[in-house]
Amino acid sequence: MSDACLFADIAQKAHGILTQHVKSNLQSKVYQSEKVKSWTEEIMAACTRDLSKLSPNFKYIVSCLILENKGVGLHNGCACHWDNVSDGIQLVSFSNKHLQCLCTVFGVAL
Amino acid sequence: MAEAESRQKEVQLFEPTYQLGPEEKERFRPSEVKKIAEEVLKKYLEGVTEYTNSTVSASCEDVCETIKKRVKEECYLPRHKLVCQVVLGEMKDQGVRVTSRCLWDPDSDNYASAYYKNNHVWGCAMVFGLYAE
Repeated sequence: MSDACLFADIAQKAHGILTQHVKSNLQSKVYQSEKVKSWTEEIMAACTRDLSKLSPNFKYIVSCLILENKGVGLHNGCACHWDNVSDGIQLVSFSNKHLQCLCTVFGVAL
Repeated sequence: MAEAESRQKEVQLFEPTYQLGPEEKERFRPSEVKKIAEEVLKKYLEGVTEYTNSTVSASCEDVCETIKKRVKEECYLPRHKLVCQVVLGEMKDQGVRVTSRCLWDPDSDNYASAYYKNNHVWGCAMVFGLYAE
């Protein structure tokens, strides 16, 4: 467990955690509306569990967006009122032939 | 020595209040924030008749900034950090799921979400308020 107080210090590892869980859950999946809910819950539960072990000095918000890969347009934006030095964001995007996933973690220092 | 020190750049230090949670009047109220998010989404997306990269890209930034600004101004949240995430997508019969999970203090932190759709575009806004001691 890291003693880091700045999100920049754990950003790379947080990115790695998100990538690992998104890929392992969605690698060869086809979009099915009845299963998507359980996929997102598994991804986020695993991410929050590993992030809490990474550093206890942050509050984490993980958001996950899964959509069918139909070539449609999508825009994702965020605005944050926080401390730029200690807080941060990491974004992971994944796509296969059938679906796309956008997973974001916001780390807010305590 | 004192003169040299006073000429140095002023550093703002915020002393801790040792208040572990927000007071009643400082609480993040999801219903108020949801109403603001719905109004902003409707204002920017109501007139959209076609999803184009340039217009929606600008709208996405504007929606985020406006929601954040309005929540800061209209809700009394002096010691809260705010995170506002907005997703705008083209309406084309595709399945979408937007979810979030938070690791925080449920007594002091909260969130609100809002959704808007018309025949051409859909939008989802999530606002998270985290108490910072």
